[in-house]
Formats: sequence, structure tokens, C-alpha cells
Amino acid sequence: MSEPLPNAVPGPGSDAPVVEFRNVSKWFGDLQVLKKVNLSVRRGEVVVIAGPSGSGKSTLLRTVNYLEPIQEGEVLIEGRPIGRRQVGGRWIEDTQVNINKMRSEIGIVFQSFNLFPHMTALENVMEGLVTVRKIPPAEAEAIARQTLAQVGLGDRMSHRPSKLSGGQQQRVAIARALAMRPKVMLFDEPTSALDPELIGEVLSVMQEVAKEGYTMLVVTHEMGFAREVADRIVFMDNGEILLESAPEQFFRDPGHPRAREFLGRLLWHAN
Amino acid sequence: MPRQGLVDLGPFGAFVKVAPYLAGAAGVTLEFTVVAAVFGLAVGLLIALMKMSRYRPFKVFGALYTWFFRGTPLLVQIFLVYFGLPQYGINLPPFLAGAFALSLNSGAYLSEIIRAGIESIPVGQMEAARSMGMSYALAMRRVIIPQAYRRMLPPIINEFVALLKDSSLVSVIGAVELMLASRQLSSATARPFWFYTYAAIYYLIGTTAFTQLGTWLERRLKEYE
Repeated sequence: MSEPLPNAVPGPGSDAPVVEFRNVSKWFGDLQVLKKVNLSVRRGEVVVIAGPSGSGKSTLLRTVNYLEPIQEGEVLIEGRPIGRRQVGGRWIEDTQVNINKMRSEIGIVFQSFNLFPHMTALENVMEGLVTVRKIPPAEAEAIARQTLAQVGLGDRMSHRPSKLSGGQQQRVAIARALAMRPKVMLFDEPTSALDPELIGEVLSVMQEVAKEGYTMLVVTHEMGFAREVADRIVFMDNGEILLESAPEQFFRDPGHPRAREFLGRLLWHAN
Repeated sequence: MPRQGLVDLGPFGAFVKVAPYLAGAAGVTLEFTVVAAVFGLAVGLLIALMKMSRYRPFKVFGALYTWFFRGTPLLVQIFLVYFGLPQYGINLPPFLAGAFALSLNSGAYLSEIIRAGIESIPVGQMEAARSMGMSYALAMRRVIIPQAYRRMLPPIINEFVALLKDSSLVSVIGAVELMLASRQLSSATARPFWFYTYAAIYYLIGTTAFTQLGTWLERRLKEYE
């Protein structure tokens, strides 16, 4: 890391949770995938969501920027519900303008990177700044260059994604999200698509992001990262949060049979 | 227009003699094709967006549009525009009527190509674009269309080749393009084999040029990736 990462945006009312789930429920058809989830994430906090596949953790993460609509409850960003607003006592979908505005303040990093293949690394990072934030291109380029240098890709700015390794692509994706100075960074299994030898470089960038004070919500199977970086671990199974605990406690004894079983399986695979 | 003297020149002499005239007619054919291609692309994009819309009336309209224009002969569509519309006071000259019918028709085929092209882009691209706060329209313009059009290019070129050939149908409403010019020359000289062969040669030059242009564009876009 050549330069320090940009500081997280200090928001108003520092005690208000940056992200808050209140009784969030979601169904895919008849299948309930989120069951009355309650969770609140404070400013600067790093929360890791762990759990077996199909437990609803990615879905929960994606409700934060309204990629997944919910049927019951509320998801609040700094106290404001995303995707829905109340009109005369009834909840209706918020306007696209409001949703877009709120989304632009939430960074997300996907499992499959989702970089724009027709743009260079630099253009990928500039895109949101120029087209969404309306920052003049010269200024946006300066921000993008600086952010890419911060994730260690100062020498790859004019490369297209197809010319970058998976680890480099994911670091560009992190830079793309960071350049927007988001209120919260969401990570949806950011290392699951990577070859084992490329995971480390991405995790260490994420660790730097955490050090800079960003509020982070991370879905991952990387328990080493969870132990080192997380302030809190949330364990989900079957669409429910079964427990929340500090990492030391979680790894000593999570205190729930299904979490123990989950950890046991992970350790078995690690050996 | 040269007439009886043409027969005495023999097939090759006649070809050279009528070349300026037929080349001019081929120019008209090319105009039909280009006009219908441009408007067809605009119509096709609009219909494709309607088919992918969340709003049912748009979806239904898009489906009906394609159903009608792909399910009826182009000749019927040309007649409807040229002979049918005047019944309601809309009189279009042959060139305009022909270009209009061709545009509507190719719009239906192009809408399917465009829709398939857009849907071939992984959903993650739209998700990433929307996640940064882009509107649907902005995401389409900046992220989806620039990727989709590379994939759509080969089938679109095929459609243009088909359009060039199908434009021969507008000869029946009296637009003097390559086909009608050749027919007039054949009946004046009683040498239909010669003149329709000449027409075939001009069509081949056009379709080959389009195909080559497509190959060249495709190669350039590949380098660009």
C-alpha cells in the first residue's frame, strides 16, 4: 500500500447506525429467504456475516442497496429507509431518483467483480464519478488514479479487465467503489471466485479499507479475515440470524450447535 | 434509355453500355437499404426496449409488433402502406412508401437481434451499474449497449444484407431501383436473361461489400477488446 486510503466520510449524528435492518423478511415465491432479521451496524464497524451457502447472507447484503427488494420490515441507511417510502400510511416503492441517489452512497464489491470489460481500469473507476456524481473528468481522473494507486494498481491503470488477474480485477472493483467515498462498503463473497494464491492481496486491501475507518459489511468464508478484522461476527442459517458475537468468542465457542457444526466443517476443509 | 441497339452489342457490350444506368439504379437500391437500416435500427431499439420493459402494455405491444411484421409477407406490408394508406388520405410517393415499409419490417427483425444482444450481457453488469447509482437509461447507454453492440454486429450485418435483397420488392410499386430498371430493360429488348443476370451481379457486389465491411468491423472490435 503506497499511500493511505481516503478517509471514510464522517456522517451526521455519529450515534445513528449506518445500516439498520428492522424485522426484515423476504420471500422468493413461497420460500422465505429472510426471516425477521434485525441487525444494526455502527459507523466504522466491520461486521462479517458468516453461514452456510443458501443461508440468505448474500441476499441480506443485497437488500442494503436495494438490489433485492424486501416484502416486510425496513432497511435503513443512516436512519433513512432504502427503496421504500411511506405515503399516507402505506409503503410504496421510492422514486428511482431517490433510490439512485442512495445507491451512489453505498459501495458494493461482487463475487464476480463485474468490472466493465469495455473500459480500462482507470475508466472503470472514473465512470461513477463522472456520470453519476457529475465530477469534471479531469478531477475524476485524479481521484481515480489516486484510488487505484492506493489499492496497489498504479501501474495497471490503462489495462482492460481481461488483461488483469482475478486479484487485480477485484482490487479495481474495490477502488471503483471506494472512489465514490461511500457511507458503507458491502463485500459479497469478494474472494470466492479467486484462485487461492490471489486471495491474500484482496484481503489485505480490505484490511486497509477497514483501518481507514470505513463501515463494512462483509459476506465471506474467510474466517482468518473475520478473526483479524471483524468487530463482530453474525452467523446466519436458513434466513435467520442465529447469533452475533465478538470474533474471539465466536472462534472459541460460538455457543450454537449449527454454528459449531459450520466452523467444524470449515476447519475440516482448511486442513 | 438505350433500346434496340443494345441487342446488337451482345451480352458483354450491352452490360458495359447500360452500366451507368444500372449503377444509378443500384444507387437507389442502396439508398433504400441505408434509409431502412437507419430507421429500422431506431425502431428495433425502441421495440426491443419495450419487449424488455416491466410494463405489460409495452411488452404486449412489442410482441404484437414483431408477430405482425415477421408473420406477414413484406409484399403485403408494402401494399398496405402504398395502396392501403391512401384510403385514409395518406399518400406517400413510391420511394417514401417503400422505405417506410422496409424500415418497419426490418425493425421487427432487428428488435429481436437487439434484445438477444442485450440479454446476452451478464446481469452482473447491470447490477454493478445500478449499484453506483446509474439510472436504467444511463446504465444501458454507458454499460450495456457498448458491450452488446459488439455481439449484435454480425447478425445486424446479416439483416442488412437481407434488407438489400428485400428492397427489390419495392419495384412492384414503381420505385425505380435496380430490380425495376432491369425489368424495364428486359422488356424493351426481349433479353431478360442478360438483364436479370446484370441485376444479380450488382446485388452480389452490394451483398459482398456489406459482408466484407462486417468482417472488417468485427476484426477491429476484437482488437479493441
